[in-house]
Amino acid sequence: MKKIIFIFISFLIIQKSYSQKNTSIEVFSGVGFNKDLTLINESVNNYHLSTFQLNANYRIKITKGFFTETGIGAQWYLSSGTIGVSKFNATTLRIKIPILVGRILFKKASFAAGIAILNNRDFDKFDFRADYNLRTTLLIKGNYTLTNNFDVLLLIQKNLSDIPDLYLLNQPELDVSVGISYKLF
Amino acid sequence: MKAKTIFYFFICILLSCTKFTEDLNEDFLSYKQVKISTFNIGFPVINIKVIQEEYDEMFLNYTEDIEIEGLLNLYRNSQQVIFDELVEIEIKGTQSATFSLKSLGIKFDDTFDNSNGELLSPKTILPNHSLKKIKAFRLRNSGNDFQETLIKDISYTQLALSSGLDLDFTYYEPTIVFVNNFFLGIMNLRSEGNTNGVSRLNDVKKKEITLAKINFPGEVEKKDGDFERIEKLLKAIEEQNVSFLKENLDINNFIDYLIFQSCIANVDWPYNNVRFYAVNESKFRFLVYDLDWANTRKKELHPLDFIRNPTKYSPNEGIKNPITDLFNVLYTDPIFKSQFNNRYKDIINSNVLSSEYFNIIVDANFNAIKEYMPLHIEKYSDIGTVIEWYRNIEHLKESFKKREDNILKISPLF
Repeated sequence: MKKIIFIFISFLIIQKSYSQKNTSIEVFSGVGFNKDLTLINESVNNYHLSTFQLNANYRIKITKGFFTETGIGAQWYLSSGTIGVSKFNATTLRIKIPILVGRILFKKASFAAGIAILNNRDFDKFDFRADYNLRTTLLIKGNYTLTNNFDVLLLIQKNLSDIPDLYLLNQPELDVSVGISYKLF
Repeated sequence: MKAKTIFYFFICILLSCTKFTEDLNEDFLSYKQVKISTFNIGFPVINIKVIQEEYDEMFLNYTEDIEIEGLLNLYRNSQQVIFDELVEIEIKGTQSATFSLKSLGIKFDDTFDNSNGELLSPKTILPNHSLKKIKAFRLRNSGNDFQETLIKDISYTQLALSSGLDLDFTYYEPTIVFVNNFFLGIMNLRSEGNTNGVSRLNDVKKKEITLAKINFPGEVEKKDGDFERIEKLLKAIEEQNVSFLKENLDINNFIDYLIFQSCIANVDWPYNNVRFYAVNESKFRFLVYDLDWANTRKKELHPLDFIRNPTKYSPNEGIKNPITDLFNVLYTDPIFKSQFNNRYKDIINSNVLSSEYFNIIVDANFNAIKEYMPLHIEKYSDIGTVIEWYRNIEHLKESFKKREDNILKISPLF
């Protein structure tokens, strides 16, 4: 799997494509969901999570009707809940590298699916011999073009990695966001 | 654009973090307000009376061997059971001594009679072990686990105790510590693993013990007793004298010791944290202690790789040490090899080192101190918040489970 991702990224980077490309900035806002979370044999109650994303997105047209997307993004998660004696709030910032393949459905709409790789631990707690440093998520993304420069977006992100509940507390299993993108060039 | 992207990427790296804040659902006293009488608990509440200036000086100059005198008072269930016992106090630990709460070594002026368990009263004591007399003990900050759970070392040691393996170890109880009636923190009261501790554990005199340590990076330090015996043992390892080694080592203990340490992936071993000892002319045995690095890394390694190629950081090059050499020599002997392999398989199949048992131990230790952790967390910011402590406890269990799953996946094990 790692090799395939590496080859795919390399292909995107080194290809000399004369096809249409564009770079855009995306802003998302959404909510996150988890299955019932438990820590130390107790359920997490009153759990709420909202998320914001800021992405730099690079789209490359492959053939007529098909494109790939990649870029880099920052995603904030704001979660809260209660467990035991603790009524907590958590703020988490993660870096995201998405890779998507999409199809233009109509003149103004497109659909893409792919994966994103995010850090699961804070970088100051990164340990290359430890588990759960990164997580992989499934991305499903829809675009609708409003004007030449503006698109509205829908993004669904679902965790694919085997991650224990303690990491889902501040970074959920599933999040659904809506946003807009602005084409820079 | 490329430069901007790179800049953006590095800004994200710098900012990428998690921050927890919390309110507590219940009213808790501040650590500044709590008194000894606040704690009506079965495990020890200790108050050490010292001259504050001397204590502060020792605390500030923790790298120097400063010993101060003090008076030990201990309470159980709100009853005072030890009254102004004269003790010497010293800061212990190396890396863990840099933390804001430091481990304290406490040495009695006279050997303390613990026949009634006033000082140290663990739930179980093995029949071949004794805690009737205690010369010294340690108030431990949980070592490198101080910033994580506070119960890691105690939980792993209790697993060793409950496993039924032929092991020697130190004994623990959680404890609340005060200095001059001011709350110091939640610590672990631990029997010592030095010559004093081992002689008390075996209920023999100190002069009957021969003991050596292996310190990082695999250097042998002869501590007490018959140094010639230690030399002969090391020479036999060097000369690959299997019959001498088998005659002078408690092989059952050595095998169980290797199995336990490799099973829990203790990466701070065996080039460090090794103590082996003999009572008079008996065979050498090995003591399990300081397990705060267990299951932090290398949880995927095969037990044999773990013993033969031990390192904390480097992926490939193991640190040379006498225990690895000893194992390699003995493993060339078909009888030892068969005994080791079969014992490993039996222990894995018996589930005595299973996550199920470990989780029960962790839950019990968690429940024992959870009511008082908000005080400790208020005083020491290292853990952060109670929710982060909960997460760390869960991580402790998760790491154990991961190692267990990895070992079970190795098929055939030998």
